[in-house]
Amino acid sequence: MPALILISATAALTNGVLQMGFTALVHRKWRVIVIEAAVVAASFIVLSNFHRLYLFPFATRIMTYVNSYLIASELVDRPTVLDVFGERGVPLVIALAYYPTFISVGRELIENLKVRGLKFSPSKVVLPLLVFTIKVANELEAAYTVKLYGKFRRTLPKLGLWDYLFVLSSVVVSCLSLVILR
Amino acid sequence: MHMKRETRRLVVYSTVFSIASFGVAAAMSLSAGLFAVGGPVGVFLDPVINLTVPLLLISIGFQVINSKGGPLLMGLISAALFAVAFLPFLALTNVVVGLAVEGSSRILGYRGMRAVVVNTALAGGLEGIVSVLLGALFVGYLINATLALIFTVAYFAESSVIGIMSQSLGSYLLKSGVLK
Repeated sequence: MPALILISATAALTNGVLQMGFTALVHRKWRVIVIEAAVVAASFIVLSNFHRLYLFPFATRIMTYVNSYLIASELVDRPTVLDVFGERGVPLVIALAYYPTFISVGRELIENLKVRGLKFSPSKVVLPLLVFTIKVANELEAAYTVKLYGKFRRTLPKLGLWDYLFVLSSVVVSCLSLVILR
Repeated sequence: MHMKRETRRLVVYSTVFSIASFGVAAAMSLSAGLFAVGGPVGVFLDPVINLTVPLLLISIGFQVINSKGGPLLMGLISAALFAVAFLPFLALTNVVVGLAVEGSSRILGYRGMRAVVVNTALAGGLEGIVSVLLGALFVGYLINATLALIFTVAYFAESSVIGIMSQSLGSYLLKSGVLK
């Protein structure tokens, strides 16, 4: 996790191609990588034609963030997050679970459509996803009301000097990037 | 989270719908790659995509939440998400949209044909044109006034159509008992 944050932070500093490649190689979802490569190539061509190449790092940076999120949602161990942060970690766990849940629901939907021999149409996909979204909101509210995730408050772990230095340096890096872009 | 029940419901629902809309918007505009298309017409194209499914989700969010403060909170949460993604002009746009829809929904309500269509058209049209104007300021484009007028009308028309769709979906959800 800290490594991912650091990579994202350095992506804000340089032109971000290396970081994008590295994070893409970590998650290895080839379809995503092909789409990303196409988008980055398109934006490079268009931006260089319009002489606005200084905007190009935005594209690679967004891709790095997307990749980092994909990696985090796959690799970060959710019980550990709850263990360390207590109930403060719940939103983080939900955020990490968001993409995998929706992807699996989407897959199920399309599979069901195929098995029943129905034609693909937007309304047949949008409506179930909508119902699912409302159900998610409903269940989240219920979980927060009755504290289904357990009642464990934690005091956050004490941070040492080096931890503060690390956080400070990452903040400085992200601020510097804004300065350099000006 | 030690909140009143109503507040908790408001926060959870608006967070879920804002994040869903943000995720769809990000995925769609990234895969279309339109954010990179420059030029006199290109700057107007990104909202055309953002005003389809993402706007539909936002509009249904208004109907689901069905209480005061919902549109404003959704606008603020979307603004925070766009700010995190380094898109300051979209963040500002969402604050403006949240305020406008909060105002209109206080008068018209949240459900029913007229309320949904007006709220959605206001949200979509404002989001389209304000994001283009602020984006132009941010990046430093000059905007063609005639084109801006044409696209403003187009944004409002497109989001009215989305409003009608959202109304039919919302009434289906109400009838089937998913929404209360």
